[in-house]
Amino acid sequence: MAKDTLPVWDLVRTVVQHSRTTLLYGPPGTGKSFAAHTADLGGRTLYSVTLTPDTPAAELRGHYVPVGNEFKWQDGPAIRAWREGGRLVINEIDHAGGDALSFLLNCLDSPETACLTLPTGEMVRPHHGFQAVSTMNGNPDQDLPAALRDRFPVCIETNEAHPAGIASLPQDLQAAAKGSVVASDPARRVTLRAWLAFAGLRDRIGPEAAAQAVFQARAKDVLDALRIAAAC
Amino acid sequence: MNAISPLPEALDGRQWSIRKSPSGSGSIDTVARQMAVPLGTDAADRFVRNHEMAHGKITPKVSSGKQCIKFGVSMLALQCCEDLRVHHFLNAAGVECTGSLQGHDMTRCVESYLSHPRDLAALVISALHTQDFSRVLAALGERLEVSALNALMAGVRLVDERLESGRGIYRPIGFRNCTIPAAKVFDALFPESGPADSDEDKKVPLNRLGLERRQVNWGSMTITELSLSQTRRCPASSKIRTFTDEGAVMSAVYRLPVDGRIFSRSRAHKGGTVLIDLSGSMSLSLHDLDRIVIAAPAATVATYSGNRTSGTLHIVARKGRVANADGLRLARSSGSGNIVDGPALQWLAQQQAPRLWVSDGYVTGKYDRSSIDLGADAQIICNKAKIRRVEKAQAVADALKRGT
Repeated sequence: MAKDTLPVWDLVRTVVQHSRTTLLYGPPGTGKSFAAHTADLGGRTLYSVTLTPDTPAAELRGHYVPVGNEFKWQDGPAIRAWREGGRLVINEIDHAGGDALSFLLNCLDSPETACLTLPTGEMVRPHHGFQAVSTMNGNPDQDLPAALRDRFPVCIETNEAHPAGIASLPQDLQAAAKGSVVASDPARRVTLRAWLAFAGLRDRIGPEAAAQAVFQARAKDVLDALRIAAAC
Repeated sequence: MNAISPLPEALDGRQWSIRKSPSGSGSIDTVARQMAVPLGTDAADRFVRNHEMAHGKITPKVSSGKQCIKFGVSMLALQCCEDLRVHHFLNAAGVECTGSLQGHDMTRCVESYLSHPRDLAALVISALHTQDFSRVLAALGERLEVSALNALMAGVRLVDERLESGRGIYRPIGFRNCTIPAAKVFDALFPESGPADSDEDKKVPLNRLGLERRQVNWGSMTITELSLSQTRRCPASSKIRTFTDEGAVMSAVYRLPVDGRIFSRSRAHKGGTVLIDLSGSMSLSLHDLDRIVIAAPAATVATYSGNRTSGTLHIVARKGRVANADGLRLARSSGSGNIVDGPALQWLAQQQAPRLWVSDGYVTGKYDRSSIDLGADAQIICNKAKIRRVEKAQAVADALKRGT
């Protein structure tokens, strides 16, 4: 990395608090969602959704719910974030189905054109403080429709484990976690969650049993590697 | 995530790429952060993975070829000594060192290296401090004479001791402090040119051992020939006569009616030189001396020992004549330490072959201090002069009879 470039997580922290839309992508378990949630909110309210191919637009936009003898409109997280100028975290945005995708194209549009008429007849525009931070595991240029990709001019690849996640691990696991979370071969990748699980179990049931439970066939190699790395 | 794979990321927290290699072989490139290792589930494959991981931890990121040129050591020596350092490290780290060669693989390896002592030594050194070592010993025990095996193991022990004596053995600096000096000892003890007594080996200077800045502190030695007042049954000055029925000059006409072998041929008695270390637990009785002289009437037998900074070499038998009990007592009383192993071996190297050294192999210099350098010096003298070491004086007679 050149000296005049910021470490990736410093860049994420700096950008997320100021950018209207941000897309974070990279291997699973690096801390993308963690960064999206914890980067300075600047007094905003946080809303978070995780998309599946079956997630309907109504779940984001809002819908009528029965209240007594009548139906009452209830805003979804996207509209609430619009109205309040909150931060909307959209996990796994590449999983969005056609219904949700159409809604997101409008929701994430530029402030000048973003505008939605709700089923109640009310027209809603995003508050100027609205932010959307999306995360995904794949490659946005390949996995996102061009129109959706265009909604994220700020797009950062997180090819390192989040330093806060690493720091929460015991000292002897930190280097192993830092490198293995972003291993180029997906088959060799060990997520931060796996390392956290191992660290937690290790204290309770011992390293051999914890490694066997978390790393399975790779348990002996992991334990040997940790011994070698820690020695002398 | 759970496929068998090493975890070199634990070494530096960076990304590595792993390639599958055949069983028993592996390599690591610490600069490009690439490993080629077998990915099997058995202990041998796992050992190779750990071995390469340890290289990644303690082997400096330098070109081994350039280091060979820089320090004047061979690639084979460098590799086997660095492997040895890695095995020391793995043991210290508490990682199981199962070795990578199964019994039949080891047997095949040993058989293919039997005619190449240098490769054989490298194999043994690479197996040291792993479970491979017992396998290589078993394979060698069936194929090498005890003396050859002992000589090989003495050299291997020296290399190992030299390696262990350096500072920072478990750190990258250990490459320079431990591996390089050990590789120099390896190259000196097991020269590329072949057996240790070859002409080429005689040109191997001591400074190849890394001793140029170290002082080899042997004590000073005086040589005393005791009064050899006892005569044994075969005076060495005479010769053995063998009677035959063919020849030019009839020298035993009296045998004509007996067996017709009226011609004779004479040959010298068996000789050789025996040097006996009389320090500490080593001992020599008059009976042992008799057996030696009877086995090889022309043999010269000398003992040595010393105190503080000097020692004495006593010649206790020569040409069939031996010292009496008083003489032997005098020889024993000259000191309880080794002190002068080096000068005594140099004396032995100039005597008639076969040359035998009766010693436990432990050598010391001034003030009875031992060091790797003294050991290496003694080993080199032995290799150059084809001096064979035996543990007990009782074994000397048999060795002299065989003429080895």
